[in-house]
Amino acid sequence: MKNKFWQPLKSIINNLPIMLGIILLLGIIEQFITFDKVAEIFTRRTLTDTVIGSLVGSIFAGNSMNSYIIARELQTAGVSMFAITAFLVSWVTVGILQAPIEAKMFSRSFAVKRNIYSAIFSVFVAVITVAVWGIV
Amino acid sequence: MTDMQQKSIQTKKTDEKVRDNKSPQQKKKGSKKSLIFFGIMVFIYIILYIFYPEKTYKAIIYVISIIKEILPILLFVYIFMLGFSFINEQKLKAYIEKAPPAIKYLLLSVLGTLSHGPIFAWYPFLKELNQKGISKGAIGTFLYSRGIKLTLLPMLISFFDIKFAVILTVVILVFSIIEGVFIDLTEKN
Repeated sequence: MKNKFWQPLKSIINNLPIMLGIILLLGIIEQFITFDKVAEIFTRRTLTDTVIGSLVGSIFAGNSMNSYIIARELQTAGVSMFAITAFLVSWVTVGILQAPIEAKMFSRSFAVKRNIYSAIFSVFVAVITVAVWGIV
Repeated sequence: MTDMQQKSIQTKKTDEKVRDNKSPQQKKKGSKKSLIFFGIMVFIYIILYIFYPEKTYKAIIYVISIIKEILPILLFVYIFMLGFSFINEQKLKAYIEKAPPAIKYLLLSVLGTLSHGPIFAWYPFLKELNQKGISKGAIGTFLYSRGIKLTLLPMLISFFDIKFAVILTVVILVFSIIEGVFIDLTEKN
């Protein structure tokens, strides 16, 4: 029972160093590079930006908390919500780091297909989510 | 005991080994990497402060403002995580094994949403399901729906809004099933 209360806290504490590291990195970007410059990698064309968001999110992995923090800063810099959503979704659904274990457990073609589908679907999820968000 | 049963017990034992031995090692490695990353960032700040004290000071103020914003949200995240830890995952696993094929997608999607902890800990269980005849597509559904982070909803809502959080959650859930179907259509089981 005691473990039930401690486990979630432990999970949050374990993530703190990387989270603080990312926040410190954001501080450097904000002051020395500026988020406007980062936002320049996005083209302001919805589909292209959504694909860029998906690709960037696919490369990174780790606790989603960190992706939310980065996404919020990108939003403040004016990056489109389509790109941000694709980034958030591919961050959690595409697992390049886990792919070798997935391949060993199930099969290489399963791991490859699953990750490719996940990257493609993150674009669809982003477009649908933001479109519905705009309507509702 | 038949060969099949012996093989199944052996696979189970190996899987338990993977769950018990590999995960903590990977966890340790991960937390060491996190600390190194944090240390590198602190070091960069020290160097930057020597050459650009004013800009670095502003960066620190910015960092403190983000931390101040995030700390109360982490409390809600903790409450959510605590709440979800009381869900009986074992019972849900038992239902999945007995459910009809079409319902399995849905149940695995729900289990994926509710599952927590590192994905490595779940692979042996997923492999076991696959060996018991559950399709790879349904396993893909589980893995995709892990993208839904119910415990982090307070953070998502606070950074964007509740409407966005709900729509995103529902759309990911739907696409987890679509991904499962796609995998089953294109992958041999």
